[in-house]
Amino acid sequence: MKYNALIIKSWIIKQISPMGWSMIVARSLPELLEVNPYFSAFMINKRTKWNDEELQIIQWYLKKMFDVRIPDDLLIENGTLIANFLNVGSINFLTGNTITFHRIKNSILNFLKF
Amino acid sequence: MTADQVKTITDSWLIVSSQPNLVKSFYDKLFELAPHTKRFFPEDLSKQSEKLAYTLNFLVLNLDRIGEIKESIEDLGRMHNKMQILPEHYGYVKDALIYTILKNMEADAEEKAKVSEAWDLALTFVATTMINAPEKREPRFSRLFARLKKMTKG
Repeated sequence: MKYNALIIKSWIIKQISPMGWSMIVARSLPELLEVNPYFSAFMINKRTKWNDEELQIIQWYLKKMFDVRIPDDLLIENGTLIANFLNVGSINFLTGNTITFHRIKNSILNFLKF
Repeated sequence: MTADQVKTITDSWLIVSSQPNLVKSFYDKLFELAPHTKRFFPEDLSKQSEKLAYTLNFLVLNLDRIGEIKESIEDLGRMHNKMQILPEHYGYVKDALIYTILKNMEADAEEKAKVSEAWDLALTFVATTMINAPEKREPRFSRLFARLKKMTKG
């Protein structure tokens, strides 16, 4: 199966925050590069597709770090972008975030085995 | 780096990373310390700030398995070396980043000194790895072979 990466990225940004999205891909990058040496967190556009392995890695870290799961109805093969998500796909870190990591700090530290 | 220092960095990053304008504060400080570094950056820093956030998250959230990301840090180094970024520039980035993190933390002087020392160590490691990155990445086959050899020895 091939999944539209931008839909997933946009959903994560909307649910967690731009920084949360950045954290997910940052932590999972070593594994993602194992399955796709050309994976880029930065270069995700409308045409970027993820395969099952890439999706599984992202899902695993999402659950472990933020205890959330991408809804099945977003995981449609070759899904097209939903209008609501179009603006979310673009991130501006210069203007701040939507969640405080204080709240989930311990769960992330536990996950990192500290 | 000790496990305690890795925890200190992760802990402090999780506290400050959701602060509004954190990335902007970093660039403001960097350009105050080293105005000449502005030439390496585009006028509109929004895309650049996204790259910076990815890079910092990548570093901090994988400090517990730094060996696995060393090659990626070297890749980053090769890219920066091609842009003629000099070893001295890494020092400015380190100082600006540590300043920004401490400024955004609510902690006593002792805790801030601990945070500063841990970040200093980590960023020095990253800078050294980037500066000394080999010109070309080791071929995938050689890396696989080295890994197999290590596994056989173990």
